[in-house]
Amino acid sequence: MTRTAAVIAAKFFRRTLTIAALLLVSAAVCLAAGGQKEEELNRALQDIKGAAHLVGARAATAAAVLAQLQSQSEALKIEIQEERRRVEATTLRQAQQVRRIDYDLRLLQQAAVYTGQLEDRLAYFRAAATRLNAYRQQVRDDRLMLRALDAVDSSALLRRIRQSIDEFQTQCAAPLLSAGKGAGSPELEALWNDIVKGR
Amino acid sequence: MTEVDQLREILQAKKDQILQAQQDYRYGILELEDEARRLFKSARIDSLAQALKYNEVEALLRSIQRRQVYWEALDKPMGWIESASESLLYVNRRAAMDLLLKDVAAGIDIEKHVHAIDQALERCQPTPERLAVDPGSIAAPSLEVIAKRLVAQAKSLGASSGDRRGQGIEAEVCSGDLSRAAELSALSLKGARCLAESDAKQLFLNRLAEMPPPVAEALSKWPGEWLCANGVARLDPEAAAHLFAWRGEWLSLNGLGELPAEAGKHLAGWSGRQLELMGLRQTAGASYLAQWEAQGGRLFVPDAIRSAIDQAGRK
Repeated sequence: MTRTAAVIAAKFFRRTLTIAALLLVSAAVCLAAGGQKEEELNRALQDIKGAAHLVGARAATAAAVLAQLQSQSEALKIEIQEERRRVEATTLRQAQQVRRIDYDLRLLQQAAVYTGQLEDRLAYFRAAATRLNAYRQQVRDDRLMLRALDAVDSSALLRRIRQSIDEFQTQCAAPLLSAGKGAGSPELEALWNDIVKGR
Repeated sequence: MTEVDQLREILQAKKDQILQAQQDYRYGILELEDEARRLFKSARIDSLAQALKYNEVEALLRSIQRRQVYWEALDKPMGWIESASESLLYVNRRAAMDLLLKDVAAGIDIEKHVHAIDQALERCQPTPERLAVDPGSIAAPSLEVIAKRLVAQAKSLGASSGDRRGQGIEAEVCSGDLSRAAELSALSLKGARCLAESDAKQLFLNRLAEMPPPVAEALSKWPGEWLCANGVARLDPEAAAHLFAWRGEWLSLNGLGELPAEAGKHLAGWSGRQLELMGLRQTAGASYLAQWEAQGGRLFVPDAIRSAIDQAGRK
């Protein structure tokens, strides 16, 4: 009786040991996997930070050039207004007889093409910054979840982030505008009417 | 691009020379017309046919006609210069705009701008051929038209003893005798030019009621020190521009009731030391007076105007 009980106790002990060992191995595997995921998320945060810096710098350059062009355009408009009052021109045809106004309108037209492109680029960079910020928040949220539950699948998010960052980097490396593009060039008549209306 | 600025400066200087020549012709015509009117009046000329009987009058009419043609002929080089200057300004501004973008844009062709600037520099050189005038291509105003105008003007010319006296005094002034200059109640352009040639240090012209721009321009060349024109009640902005370009020291305009802002703005550049405006009643040009006084000028004005000037000076 005593021997039988000892055998049963030994069997139970061995089984318990096996289960404990299995549990330990499983926990170690989970911990390793969780650590790798967090590492990936941290790396993504670093990449987002770098991309945001790049986008911000490019946006700042675009904004600075845009501001200079806008300032030149304003100066041209003021000059046209002064000339317009001096020669009492009311129609575009009259205005174009005055060389200074004619040339200023052409410069204004060219500046409008450039500023249009720069504004588009600036809008793109602002949208990129917003998207990067959203990604940053999402990655941080996933990391919190990962730390709490060890069970978050961020692979799709990380793929999207990689794609976006690649696209932003390509766009940041590209010229801000193309001098050859004539699209978006306003009609002289429209420019003139705006000036007459004081806009 | 610096070369463009330099060429524009050259063109501007040339333009100023042409403007000066045009003004000389314009004033020259006014001076001849003054003389012609007087002759028309004294010889009772009322038609071109009669005028041509007098060699002196015919010469005057032909001189007026010639100056008119020269004056108009200068419009052509003036137009060329303005066009060239604007063209240069445009190519320069256009290049500057692309230069601003060259580091951030694709397709900027700086070489193209350099080429355009080079071409403009060549095209806009003020060569004698490009500035040449052709008086023969200008339709001269007919002697008939000139004479008709002068006949009409001569008829409205005063024939009082005062006018005759004035003419006499001007003749004395032109012969170098300024002893009765202060009695002049009107001044012709010729008379003003004669006064400007005198070496008197002071001119008292307090009976003059008007100061037309050509007269002010002529007097502005007088190398004296004190000009008194206290009878002048109104100062045209153009006359003010000439008067405040005078290099004298002391200007008395105590008959002026107001100094309009358009006239006052020319005061800023006057190098004189003392200005008397004791008749001022309006404060329109107070800020310009304050500005001139702040530059070191001594200003004499009534108390009410003084307060306005002090107030303008504090702003």
